[in-house]
Amino acid sequence: MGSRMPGSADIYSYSIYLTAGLVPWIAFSNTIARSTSVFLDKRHLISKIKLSLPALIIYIILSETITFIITMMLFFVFLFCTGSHFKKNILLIPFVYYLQQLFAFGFGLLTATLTVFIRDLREIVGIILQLWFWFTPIVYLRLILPDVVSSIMQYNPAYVIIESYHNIFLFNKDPNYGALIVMTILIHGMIFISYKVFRALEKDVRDFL
Amino acid sequence: MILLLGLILWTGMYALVAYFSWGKIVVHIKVYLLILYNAVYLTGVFLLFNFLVR
Repeated sequence: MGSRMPGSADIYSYSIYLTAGLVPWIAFSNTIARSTSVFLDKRHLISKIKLSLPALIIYIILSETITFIITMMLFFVFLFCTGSHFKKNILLIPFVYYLQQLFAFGFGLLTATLTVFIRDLREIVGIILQLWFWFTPIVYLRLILPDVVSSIMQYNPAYVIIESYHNIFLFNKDPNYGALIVMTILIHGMIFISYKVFRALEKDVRDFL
Repeated sequence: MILLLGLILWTGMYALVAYFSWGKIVVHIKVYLLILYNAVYLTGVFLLFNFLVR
């Protein structure tokens, strides 16, 4: 727990950096991974009862939210014990988490629909999530990246979200509101497309299952 | 305090509009409307923080 960040005197700074990035990422990646196979996993239910398919993904989001809240409560206890101070922007945490889970919902709905027809997509999504994790500065700092990689990092949507958590918890800075607003619009666009694809394929999804 | 009040007011407005819109519209267009309301709501929240916290 005593690893320091470059330029920081706080002995807990790296622990805070790591936890602030890792906890939201686990919620995000678990939601996508579980959503991708949810229609296949629950096919015994779907084939017997007429239930709303997106509700299955919402159920996953809620279960991941409970885990996230419990972990965050423990994290806050740790932060108070180590004497961390917060600004008003700590109130932003639920909204950043909401945005992140909306992203996972849009992504998950699309992959869940397509996995019914392309079964290998489940494994592909797992690999994409692994690569995505290492491409996002969660366990390392953006500073250590080469300039070329660092310059394209701003186009990584997970980076915008994780950076917001880092700014709030560790650096006591305001997140990049402009980037968050752009992300909000893009994520809702993605949900719109995902839902459109789902509506177009819903009947086939139920028949295939 | 102003930020908290603004957030509560904005969330309340969003909840009211979404609730009545969901109840009144029967066809699946209501889902697309909800996506739109949600986008406006979250954009509003981030703008609120931008102007009141910065």
